[in-house]
Amino acid sequence: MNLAELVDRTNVDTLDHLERETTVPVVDGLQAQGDLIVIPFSMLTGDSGSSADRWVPAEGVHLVEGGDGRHPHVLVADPGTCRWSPCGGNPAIENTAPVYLLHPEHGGTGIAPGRWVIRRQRELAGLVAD
Amino acid sequence: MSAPSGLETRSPDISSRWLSYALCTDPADRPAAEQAVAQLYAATGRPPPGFVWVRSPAEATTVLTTKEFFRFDGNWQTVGAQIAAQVSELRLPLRQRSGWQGEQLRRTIRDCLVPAVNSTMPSSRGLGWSGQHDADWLAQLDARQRLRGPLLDTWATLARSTGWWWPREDVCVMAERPVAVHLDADRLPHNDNGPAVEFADGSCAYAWHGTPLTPISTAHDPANPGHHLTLYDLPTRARLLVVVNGSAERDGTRRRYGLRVPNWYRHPVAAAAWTYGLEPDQYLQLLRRT
Repeated sequence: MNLAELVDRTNVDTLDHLERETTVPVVDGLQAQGDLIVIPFSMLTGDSGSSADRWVPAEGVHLVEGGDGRHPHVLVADPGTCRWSPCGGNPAIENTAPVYLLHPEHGGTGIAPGRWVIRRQRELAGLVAD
Repeated sequence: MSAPSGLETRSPDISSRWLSYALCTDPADRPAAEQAVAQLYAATGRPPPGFVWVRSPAEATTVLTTKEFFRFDGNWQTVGAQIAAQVSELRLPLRQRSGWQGEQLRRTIRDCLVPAVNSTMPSSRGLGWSGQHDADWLAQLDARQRLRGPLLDTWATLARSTGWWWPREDVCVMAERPVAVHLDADRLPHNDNGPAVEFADGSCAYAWHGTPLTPISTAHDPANPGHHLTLYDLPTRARLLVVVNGSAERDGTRRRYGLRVPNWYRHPVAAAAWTYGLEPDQYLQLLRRT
């Protein structure tokens, strides 16, 4: 998967200085895309791990909506490979094949098959938005 | 940025003029500054002092050898105390809090530049004044049309011509102005990539959108090679974690941004971990950041 293909699949475009043709790396572990962090489920204790029960549609899911000067973070998956649940702002995802996060400024990053919790970055004033 | 208050709306020219003195990075006009200081000495019945020029307030502390723990040591007969008494009288009209307060000047000078420059000096060196950074109270007098009289002219000349200075009995130590002052879009002292205030001798101070900063500690940012996390003390009950974006801007630079974190964090990695609700050892396992 490369960035050009991710852009084709969603209605989200990325800034044109980001490399479109390079294969997007798939990471099997803790990774951050701007103000989002992807945490292996096994790293979290005491998390109820509510079941990811919605299939990610072909056009992707906006895990963080854009607007008001913010950019969206979009989860992109092949059909039938990834389920997710919103979980009150900390989405849980469960995937059987690599899935991708796309962001207009940060580009794309791949998430290896597994169970993951996605969190927003926070500061004292509230949530961070990029 | 807050809406322009009183002085800025009514007296934009006064505000911008005095702000330009405060932000000036030209070499000092030494003859004008020395003449002004000599006039202040004369007003206390003293002959002109000798002058020692230094590149910065930090360097001044190496010349002002006696360490004075308090700005005023209790002796009213010193030249510093007598100049202070004159200043106090000149500033009397400002005790009435009505009228223009000069919000932008206060934020830039009194809340940021003065503490920032103070932070470059290892300790207090007793009574001294700020030259260009006395512009805020002089502007208030100007806006009240009270900037009249020979002594106020003298103080205005000092604001236009020099950096900080310290009067002593036979000698006055004079510091040059900074060589660089970086500002943000609101014209508040700020620099994403280094010091906001720099002097010719390399002494410098940091500021973040008008808030003077004291760095506490720095650490490598895991998964962001070549970039650091830096933790600063803020004047409020918080600390500021300055982080570097994982992806480059169009021009190839990396944007920096500051996150307010609780003031009990002493290590930047612990503070960064908190922003994601993780433990420090977990955050150190970060494999990739974009």
